[in-house]
Amino acid sequence: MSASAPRPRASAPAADAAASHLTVSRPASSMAPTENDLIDGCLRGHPLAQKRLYEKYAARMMAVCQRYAQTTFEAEDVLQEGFLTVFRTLGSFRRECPLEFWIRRIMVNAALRQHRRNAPLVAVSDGDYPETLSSDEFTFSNYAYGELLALVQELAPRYRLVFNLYAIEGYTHKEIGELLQISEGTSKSQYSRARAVLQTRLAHLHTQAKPPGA
Amino acid sequence: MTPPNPSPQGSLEELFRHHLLESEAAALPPLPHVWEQLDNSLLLAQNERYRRRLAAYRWAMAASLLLAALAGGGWWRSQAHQPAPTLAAAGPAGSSAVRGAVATSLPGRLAANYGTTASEQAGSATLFSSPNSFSIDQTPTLASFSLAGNSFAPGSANSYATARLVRRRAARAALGANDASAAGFHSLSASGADGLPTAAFAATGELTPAASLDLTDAQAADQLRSRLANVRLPASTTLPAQLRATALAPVAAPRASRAWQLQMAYAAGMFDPNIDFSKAAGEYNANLGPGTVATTREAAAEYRNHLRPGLGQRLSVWATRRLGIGRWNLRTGLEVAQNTASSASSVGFVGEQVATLTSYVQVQSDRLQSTSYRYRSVGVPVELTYTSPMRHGFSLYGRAGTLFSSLLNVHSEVDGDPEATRSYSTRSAGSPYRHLLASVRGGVGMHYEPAGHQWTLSLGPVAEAGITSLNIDPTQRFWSQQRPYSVGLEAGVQFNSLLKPAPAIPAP
Repeated sequence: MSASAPRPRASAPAADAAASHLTVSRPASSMAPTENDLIDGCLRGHPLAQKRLYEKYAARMMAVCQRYAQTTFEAEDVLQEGFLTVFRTLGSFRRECPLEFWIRRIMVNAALRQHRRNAPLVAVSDGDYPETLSSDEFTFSNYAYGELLALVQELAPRYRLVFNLYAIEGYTHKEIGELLQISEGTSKSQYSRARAVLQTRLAHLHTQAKPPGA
Repeated sequence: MTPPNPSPQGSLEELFRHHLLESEAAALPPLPHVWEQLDNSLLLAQNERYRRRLAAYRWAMAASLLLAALAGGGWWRSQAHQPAPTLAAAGPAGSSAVRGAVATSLPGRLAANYGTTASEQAGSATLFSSPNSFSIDQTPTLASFSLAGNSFAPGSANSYATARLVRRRAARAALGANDASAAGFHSLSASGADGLPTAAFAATGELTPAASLDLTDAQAADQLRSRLANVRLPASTTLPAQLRATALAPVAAPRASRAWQLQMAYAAGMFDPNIDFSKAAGEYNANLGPGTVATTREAAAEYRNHLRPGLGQRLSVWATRRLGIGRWNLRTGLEVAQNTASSASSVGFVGEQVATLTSYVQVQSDRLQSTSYRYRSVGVPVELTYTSPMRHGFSLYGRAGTLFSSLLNVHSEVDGDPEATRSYSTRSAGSPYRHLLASVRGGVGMHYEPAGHQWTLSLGPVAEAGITSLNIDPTQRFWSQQRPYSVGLEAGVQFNSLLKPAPAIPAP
């Protein structure tokens, strides 16, 4: 079989020309496609619009996925599955809220699915948690993003999920129970344990960070 | 002097929320391979959607054709079983008074016992078993009635309804036929050249004309034909003064010709090559470069994703022969076709394996290169057609058959890259396309044959689906292969109509 030679990469203006349909109805001053343009392009199945949408939200959603995953590879899997769901179900997005919120919710659900596949949640008996949570104050500047992310990732999967959903995303324990198909008490128990673990590690981290004799 | 802002403090939840949420805006994007995998998955998902949609289209097309065939068949059947009245009750068309007169006068007053009358004149004792009703041959024969200066022709608007009414009344009147008076009624029957009646019936006196000539069934027609053959009027028979015989012009009964008929047709529509060039990695030639397999697979997926149907045109010459079975015809011929399609890929993929020393990501261009395809073929179709009853004017037809064709030439042209243009003929060894193709075809439509002309126009939708795939070496199983299909309209003209007039019947 004979073979055809690969074509050279097209120049940047050519790529812009290919994307011109996304901006054809708008003034020339705003060349970046709007969110609605991207959505419409994705609904038409245009690859360029899909890529633009991905590029716009991939970094933020990767940060979300990293909180729920234990490793970067796992986070990438969640991100990929989440964006596949986004492109597949974009037609059901009613544009009543910012697209980012909708995508974030899809990512969280993708993380939950991934977790169910990998490590089924183990029910913990109700009341197996301290009634009162410590109210220690932490100085924000003493900790960096990478350190806190590593602490979250080191949590056991079930603790990590509950902590993320409750402390970061703002879900209630009742909602978490419905999402994870566990009881509300179980959610509280797991959150309490996760919080205790984090508090201990934060204190240890702060101790390590202090110079000797300080 | 304001003191410097102290570092914010908060609970454990606020600490994590502060850092994790705020850092999202400045988070680093994922590695490029994530998008590549995602893009590939999107392509596969899109292909699956196309595949499902294609299956749905095919089912819908098959259901439509079946529905159209059933509807056409039902219509033809109803047309074939509808009696064609040749002579009906004669009376002023649309006159309810006449129909009333027929209904009321027949049993007692209508001395239409033609058997009796005929026996008086020609010795044919029993011309009609039913005194008031008779039938004549299905062959259309014009008869006219002269009654007191009124002329009646068959086929009037109410003739058939009146004929049915007369027949029902006559059945009851048959019981009292012996009492029927012959006063004022005379019946004449003259034989034409072929023994079929070309008679003129006349009534006299004040009686309402009520002769009923109707088609019943083949048995009755045969019986009548045999009886009519026995009727011979003596030469000396003279018409009563009130009767006025009217010469009938023989009407030729069309009969189907079994000679070959010539037809030319042109069809245009949408053609989808529906090619899937994808293969398993092991089926590619890995010697064409380290990245050749992945690059070709990606390019094949892109090609498939962006494949769009184009215009299909076909010019054909047909020879049609009427089969001896019902209204079935067999036709075959020769046709030339030109179909087009288009697609796009990042590497100008035209169906061949891509040779490269780099990966797909490195060779793909940011802009998709659109590629246009032109397929030329010559083929021999064989079809069975079914046409509605042979009559002038409009009629319906249905057709189904197979096509065996040879793909003479495939021209692939990459937009803006003349070097990538490929042209494959039947002798091209490396062609990714089949040289011999087979497909099935079906359609329905309408014929129009103007009266007095020996040609027929036809127009109707036609659909074609490939039995074989267009690419030469599909890796899928036979039932899972992607095959070309087309949907369009075909118009044709047929010379030397299938209908030939019967020989003229000399006037009596």
